[in-house]
Amino acid sequence: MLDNQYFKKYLADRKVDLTKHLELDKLCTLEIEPTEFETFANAHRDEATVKWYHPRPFLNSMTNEQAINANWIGYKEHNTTESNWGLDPVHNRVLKDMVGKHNFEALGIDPERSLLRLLEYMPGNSLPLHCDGFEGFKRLYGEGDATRFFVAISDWDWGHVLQVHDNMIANWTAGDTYIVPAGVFHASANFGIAPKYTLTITGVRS
Amino acid sequence: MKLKHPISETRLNPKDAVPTEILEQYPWHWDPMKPDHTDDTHFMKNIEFDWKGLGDWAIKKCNEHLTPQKYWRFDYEQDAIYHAKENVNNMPIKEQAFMAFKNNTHNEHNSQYFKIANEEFEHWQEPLKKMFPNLKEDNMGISLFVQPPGHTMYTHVDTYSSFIRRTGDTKADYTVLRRYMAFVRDWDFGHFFHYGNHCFSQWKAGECWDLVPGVYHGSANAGMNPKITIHWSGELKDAR
Repeated sequence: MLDNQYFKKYLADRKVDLTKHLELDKLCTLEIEPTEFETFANAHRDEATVKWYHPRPFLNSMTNEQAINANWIGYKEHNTTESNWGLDPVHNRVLKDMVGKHNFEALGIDPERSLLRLLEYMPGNSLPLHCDGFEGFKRLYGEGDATRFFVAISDWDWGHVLQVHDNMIANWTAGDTYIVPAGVFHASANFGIAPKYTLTITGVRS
Repeated sequence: MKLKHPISETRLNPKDAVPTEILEQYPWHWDPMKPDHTDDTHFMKNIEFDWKGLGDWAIKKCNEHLTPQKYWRFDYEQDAIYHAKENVNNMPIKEQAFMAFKNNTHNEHNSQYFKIANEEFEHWQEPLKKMFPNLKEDNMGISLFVQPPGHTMYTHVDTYSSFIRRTGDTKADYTVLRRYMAFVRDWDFGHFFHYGNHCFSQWKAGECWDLVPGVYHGSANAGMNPKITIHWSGELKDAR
């Protein structure tokens, strides 16, 4: 039924072991206005990058191998579609202004060397288990010891979840922020009835 | 991929779609931000059983045909919600399913699962039936669900459609119905299940929960292994 041998081997090769606990606490709660982000998404819907989880030529081989493994076991357009905003420099600037200087200071990153992505997952869509390749950030700012932050944009709703290694992240308040450590596998899903909005901020911490 | 419908500008309230009698008989907080809830207090027991044997057998059984029997689909021409090939517009799940599928993005491509039920359990059926002597044996239903990666079960309140179908009753008496759920395999990457405001993790095979009626719940699999759960539904013997 499910030929997941490649996916399992991929994890085994990297010694990913769910029985080993990863300590992961909430970093902080940023002061944001949730409706600003949701209004932005609705106002700029036609300019969103709409993608589903599959290999693409501008991603690195690690990311593409993960996508191939995921597609092989059934991840496709109808269950992994994401709309996002932030790759467009204008959108990135607007999102940074919405986050505000004080929040960047709280995270300890330089807004001028950071990449923001506002993500919208509609009900029924998931982001399969993966670890980040930071390709977008590296294209803009080169190699660096970047940190990926997960920021909840709306208060938690039923069916909205994130798993970071063995940590279940849910029941969040808008602004709640976690670091998703580089190389750590994570997955998320929306099995509720309302869109799930989150923000990823990638930058180098001072 | 452009949406075929606008996103609702106001928050959909799932409570609006739940049958009135369930809301009346089983009042619940209906607040996703409520921190002092008791949704995590319905753990019943650890059931000793050959869960590995059952899980492995179930996967083999699914592999015999490779086709998930169950999925949800909205038919816009008929304005009807289908659970696999059955139009369930006349079932009490209708309004909840409409909320998730009509002008929303749950669909037949992300809601599939394999189902093994009752006599299909073969030699497993009798020992499984005996696990809940408090349920009437003659109309108890047992269902095992294998949820493949990439699929979700939309958030909902149980309305016992399978029970209604099996008993032929025109309407369910929710005051006497119960559903219990056990995990068949240990928790794994990307396996999500929430019961009200409680999001499960780290579960072990055999952990059994009392899915008290009226509590909103759902599940997803964003991992790489199938997620397997088993459910008992039936009437309480001492209810009437």
